[in-house]
Amino acid sequence: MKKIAIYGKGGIGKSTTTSNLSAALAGRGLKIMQIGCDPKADSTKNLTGGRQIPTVLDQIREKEDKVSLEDIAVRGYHNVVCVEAGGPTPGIGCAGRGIITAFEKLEELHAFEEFKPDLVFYDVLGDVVCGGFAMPIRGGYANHVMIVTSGEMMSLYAAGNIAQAVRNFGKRGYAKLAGLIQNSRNVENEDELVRRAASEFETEILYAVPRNTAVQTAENQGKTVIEACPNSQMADCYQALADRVLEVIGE
Amino acid sequence: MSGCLEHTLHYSSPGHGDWGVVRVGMLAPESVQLFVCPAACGRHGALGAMKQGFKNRLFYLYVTQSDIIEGYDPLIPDAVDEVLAALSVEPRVFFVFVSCLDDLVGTDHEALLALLFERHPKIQFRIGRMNPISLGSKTPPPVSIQNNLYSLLEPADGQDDGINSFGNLDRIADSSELYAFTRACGAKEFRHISQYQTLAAYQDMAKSRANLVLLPSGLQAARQVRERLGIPFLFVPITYDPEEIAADYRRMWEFLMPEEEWNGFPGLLEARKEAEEEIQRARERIGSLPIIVDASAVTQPFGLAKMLISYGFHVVRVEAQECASFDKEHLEWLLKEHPEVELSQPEHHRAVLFDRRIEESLAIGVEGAYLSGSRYVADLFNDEGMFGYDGVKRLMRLLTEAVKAPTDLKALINDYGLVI
Repeated sequence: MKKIAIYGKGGIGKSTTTSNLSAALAGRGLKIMQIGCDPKADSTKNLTGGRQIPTVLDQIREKEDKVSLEDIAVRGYHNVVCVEAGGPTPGIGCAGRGIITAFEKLEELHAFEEFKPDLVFYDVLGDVVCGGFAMPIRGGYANHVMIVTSGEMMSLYAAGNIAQAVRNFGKRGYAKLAGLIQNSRNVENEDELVRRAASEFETEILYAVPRNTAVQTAENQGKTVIEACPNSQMADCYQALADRVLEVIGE
Repeated sequence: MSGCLEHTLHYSSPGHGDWGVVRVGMLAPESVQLFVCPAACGRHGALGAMKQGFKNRLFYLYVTQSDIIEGYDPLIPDAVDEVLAALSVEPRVFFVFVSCLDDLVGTDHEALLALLFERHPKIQFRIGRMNPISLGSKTPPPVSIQNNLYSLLEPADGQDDGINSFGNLDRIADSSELYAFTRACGAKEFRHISQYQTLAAYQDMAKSRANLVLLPSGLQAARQVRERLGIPFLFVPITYDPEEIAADYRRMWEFLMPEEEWNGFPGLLEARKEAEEEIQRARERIGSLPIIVDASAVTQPFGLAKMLISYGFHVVRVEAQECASFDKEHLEWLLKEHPEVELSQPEHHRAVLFDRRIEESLAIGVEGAYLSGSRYVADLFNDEGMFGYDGVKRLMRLLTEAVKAPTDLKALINDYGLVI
């Protein structure tokens, strides 16, 4: 089992990228688990027909210590196991603590032993703002971190912060930065900007996903591109990204 | 004495003190307190409150992990309603205390207070903080709770000639010449928060023309009251040095009676003479018995050590975690003139080794006694009720009494109950 944490600035396309990766790899017969680590709880909705699934925190609140795996893990496209950590209403509570609690619950319920996934994707909110959001990078969680970024300045800035956090944790033998996934926004000179950033972060660009309307078309149907437009050029891109991901993690 | 104060892993002894934020907050007339915290944080306070007779004024809203993640703001107004429904007499002051985890959760206190005022317009709501993580800040819990207490004073219709004492948690003893002094300064009343049973009566303190701040934890509140109500203040930290007491009375006179020349206050010389005689008597009785001065007993432990040494007592150690700015010159004097006096920090991690026992000693302060294993203990916390020459006399009598028989320290600490 390999675990990959996908980070990146809010709204940059982490969930879209992760869901398409999950769908592409599941379509090849791999057992995939995708864990959304964002209070918005919409990481997996394109794997479940646009339906928002109950979050771990919702279920803990409702059922306290009687929560079972069936309550929090939903099978999506090609049997991808979908989990959403969930979190508080924006502005109150402690979202970071929410992620930690959700992870503890998954551990307590032996989720990995039960589902035996080949690959686990953690889709993590925006930036490493506190310890909770750094959880997936820590020991025992992700082996690899991939950062989704465009050539936009703020996106690259966030990517730099995440790369720094990974480097800091890396000293303790935790997750390694596997590379950047360029989610293109058609910014001028975008390839060069991202290439330069990758060089500064001492990493590489794993793949440059082009901007394509197929993504929106698929999401409007509550699906990934892999599911909605399997023969499209964009689906080929996500398949190529999946190849690259398998290559860098050694699968 | 090395004068080197270190910040290490903290040790907390059972003799640490007797006034926590709960007890200080309870000084607010007609008040109750609701603590919002995890159950484990409340257990100590709940047991302590039972023992100290505050059981009917202290309530707990225990929050769960889910409440912390989701934010417990919405739970508090309903909990307040439940507390009010359970009380036969509606309080006039309601403290909502939050624990240190609230500093991470970031509850919107202003919005919460606005909602509570809207629901219960006759009650003054205040947010209290039980957050030891703020101890190193400018507003640690002992300061913020006093800010809360005095924030209850509202602008008065008119001013009278009264004078307030701020900062001290116990009223200054009636035997103190400070009362006669303040009367000589035209004050019919020398006011302290502990004398008021109702919030309405407490408002008399807002009429006073001046505040004398006797303990530093009341300084920030005094500044706020000066800003808000226009009452000037003077900081007069409690001291036991007759020279300093004389200087303090002069400073107070100049502050309170700026138009009047200082000619000495009738009775002060006599009071000083009596105090010095009491010091001599205590000196003779105590002899060369080693003395440990502990900061849990007095605000200026280095000042007291200096005074005692100056009068021939055998001070061997000062137990103090920090040195307040106003006590610094005393520390410097000790370092220069009496380097043999040991400085020990009661919260230093080495304290737990208990390798500095001086059983045949007199400790002024319970924590110092606990750490040194002193046979004799002068039972005093926070300069309780002491001021001026009367304070010196009472302290000397306390020391003289203390050496008459060994103290059962365990019983003494148990009797104090838990610090809440």
